[in-house]
Amino acid sequence: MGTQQLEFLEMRMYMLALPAFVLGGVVLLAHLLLAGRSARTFWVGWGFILVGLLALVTSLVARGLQPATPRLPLTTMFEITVLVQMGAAGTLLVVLPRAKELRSAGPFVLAVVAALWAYGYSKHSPPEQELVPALKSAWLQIHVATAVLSYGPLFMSGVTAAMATVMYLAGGRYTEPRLPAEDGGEALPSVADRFEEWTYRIIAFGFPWLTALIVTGAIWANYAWGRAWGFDPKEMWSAVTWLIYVAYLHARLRSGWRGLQASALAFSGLLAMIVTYLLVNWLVEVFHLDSLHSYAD
Amino acid sequence: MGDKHVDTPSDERSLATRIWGLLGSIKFAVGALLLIAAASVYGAMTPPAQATEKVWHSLWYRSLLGIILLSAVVCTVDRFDGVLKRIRSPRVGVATKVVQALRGYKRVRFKGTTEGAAAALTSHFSRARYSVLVEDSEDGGVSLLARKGMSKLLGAPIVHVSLVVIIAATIWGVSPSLGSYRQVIQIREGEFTHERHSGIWVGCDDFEIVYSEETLSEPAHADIKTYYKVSEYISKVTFYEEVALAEAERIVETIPQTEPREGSDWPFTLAVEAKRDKGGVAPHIGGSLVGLRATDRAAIRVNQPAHVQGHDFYQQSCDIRALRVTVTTAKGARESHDISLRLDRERGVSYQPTLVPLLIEERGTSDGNDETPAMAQMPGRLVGVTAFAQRFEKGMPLTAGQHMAPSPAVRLEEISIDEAGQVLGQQLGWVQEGQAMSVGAGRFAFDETIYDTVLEVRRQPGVWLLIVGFAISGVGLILAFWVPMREIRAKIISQAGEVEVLFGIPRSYRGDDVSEIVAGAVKALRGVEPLGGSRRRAT
Repeated sequence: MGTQQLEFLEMRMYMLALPAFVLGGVVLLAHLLLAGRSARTFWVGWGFILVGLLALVTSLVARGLQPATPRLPLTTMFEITVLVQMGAAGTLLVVLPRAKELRSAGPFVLAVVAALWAYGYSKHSPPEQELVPALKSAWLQIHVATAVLSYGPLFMSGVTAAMATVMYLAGGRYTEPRLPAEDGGEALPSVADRFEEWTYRIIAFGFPWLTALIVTGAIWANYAWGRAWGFDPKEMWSAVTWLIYVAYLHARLRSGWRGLQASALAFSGLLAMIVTYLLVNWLVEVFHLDSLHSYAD
Repeated sequence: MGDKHVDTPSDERSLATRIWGLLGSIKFAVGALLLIAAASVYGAMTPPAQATEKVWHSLWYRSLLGIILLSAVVCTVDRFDGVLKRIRSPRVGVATKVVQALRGYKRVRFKGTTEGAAAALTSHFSRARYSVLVEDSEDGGVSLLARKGMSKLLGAPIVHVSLVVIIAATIWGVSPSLGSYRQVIQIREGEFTHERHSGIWVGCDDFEIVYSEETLSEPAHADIKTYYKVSEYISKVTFYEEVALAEAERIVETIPQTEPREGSDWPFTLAVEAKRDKGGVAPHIGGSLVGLRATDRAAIRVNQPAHVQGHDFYQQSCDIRALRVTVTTAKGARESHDISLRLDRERGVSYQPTLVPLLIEERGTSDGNDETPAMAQMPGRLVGVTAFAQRFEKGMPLTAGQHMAPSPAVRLEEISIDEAGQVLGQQLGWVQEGQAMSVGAGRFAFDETIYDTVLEVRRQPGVWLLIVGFAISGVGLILAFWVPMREIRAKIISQAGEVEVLFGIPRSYRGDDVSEIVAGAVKALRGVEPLGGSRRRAT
């Protein structure tokens, strides 16, 4: 397959992903509101999300084959954004079948994925033939892989945390324990509590990967620049994100924090992560800061 | 007489206990973590030059880090005994009311014996890879505790220990008194540097910049679709040790102004290849002769540092420092010159060559009738390099933009002096790298661009400990978050030929699998005919 054909395939698959995700969100909404939560409509929606994910994978593979020396496309902002979309969509595919009560989060997570899609589209550029010297390292693949495994789930946990926060603030039926299916049975946690519980579970999966992201970045920096930590804005904002999640985990696990406080703290972790991932380069420019982390743009 | 208040030892212990308790408090830890996060945001938004002094290296920021580390240590020390006890010697026999108070409480009744029920449950949980402990209870009946994944409890202490290791490694890595070191050295191609701290001599055999051609996503012009960017910086160096001149493979001469002087902190000495004349090797520029023997060779790239004698050499940057030209005069005399460059930032970061008059035609070769009296004093026809362009194509230098392949060129001018004695230059044209131009009967060649490579030398004795700390934290995180821990309590009570089994799950557990676990255990009571039971609403 020639370069032009690969370019065509890359863009066509990327363009296919958005309607797949949108349809997935629409069908999930139909499943929740119109179809009596039937299993069939759920799996149709799930299938559309899967199509979207596979389209993104195909797009990235086609992109990676374009340079004269094929390589994993892991460096530009477009490529990283595609990877984060994949992480978020993948998390949805894994979590939604297991957590029926979390399915209402699906359309919101897909809305975030769609927003990321649009951002990635605005940042699209031809794949680079050669990487800049600092990116020529095996640590690039390892570091970016941990980013996908952490950012994707943490994006989803941010959405569920936001929804839980809104539910706790709204109160009412969202915060009342649910009646058991059988008489005399154990009362079930409220909808907000279940969202808060699942937020914790997803963060519990993503947080070690976030730590691995920072650690692999430090090791790589030592090889590339001779120092593991340079207080670079990107590094410091990733540390801020990590510290917020550490505070959240400590508070929830030990201090018995639940409910509104935990959800709000988890959501603030997402905000810090958005700054780290998306806004740092803009901040560097506006505030005249120095940063070595500008290759992705 | 009134009572005099005296500080007693118990008051001091009380204060120490209070401080210990505060440091070991999770609420304190959460507050400290959020505080340092806020401080880090402040530092990240501050311009780097100020941030280093105001935030990162400030006493208050380092104190915050120290408090968090201390809190992690105190938390771990405080709770470790309890964690070990819970793992090794859990309380098995509990009162009935304890089980009844647990969440997921379920009560079932069967015909059978206590022993039979205990055996069935032990077998069921053992098959599911639980460790099962059975004990007679004080209030009658048999207590059963089934557990798995208890190593999860070690996760948090291990992560805290890793923090201590990582901080220790960091302190070791940045403390000169503990052996760490950092220095930048600059070496011109073909020259040598003596890095004084390590004692290592480094010679730059060659420096190369590799470019790659990329496609412009938004071309500025229709005919410009590509640009060139750096693909690789490669410093080919040789490492040497100092030896006696008689044993040396190479002899170099130090450059005097870079030699160590009393009171000077100049960190490295530069040297050039010593010149040989009829009498052998002798100093030529007023420096000292040094004998060198090669010990190692390396091609240093970004991400591929060289490791020599406990020191790491990183590719940091480079600079264009000189232009090597060769002039062959009309009479055949041939001489090479290195014309130095300086950066002229006022002209948009361009390199300006030093004007060095080069004799290209000796006097008498082609004297012109229009020669001025001043020129008659000159040794002959002179030329000089008056401009340098990194990119030159189609007869035009490019002072900005990267959309042409790097192709250095120099502008050659003939130097003359007018009747007023003013130096004039007549442009002769551009000469690209690797090419030559005839000037009268002489010849000027632009051989190559000479680079300085800039290497960073680091001695980082604590790096291995840092990696160990990272590995320990990885183990701790996996245990803390990815190992599923389960504990199920069962109380078996015999009542008039029937067996009543109470199940309970500690509150800390979550999840849908609670009822599944209990349901599985109930099913395991095969051969024990169920008579009925109840589930109590959990509070």
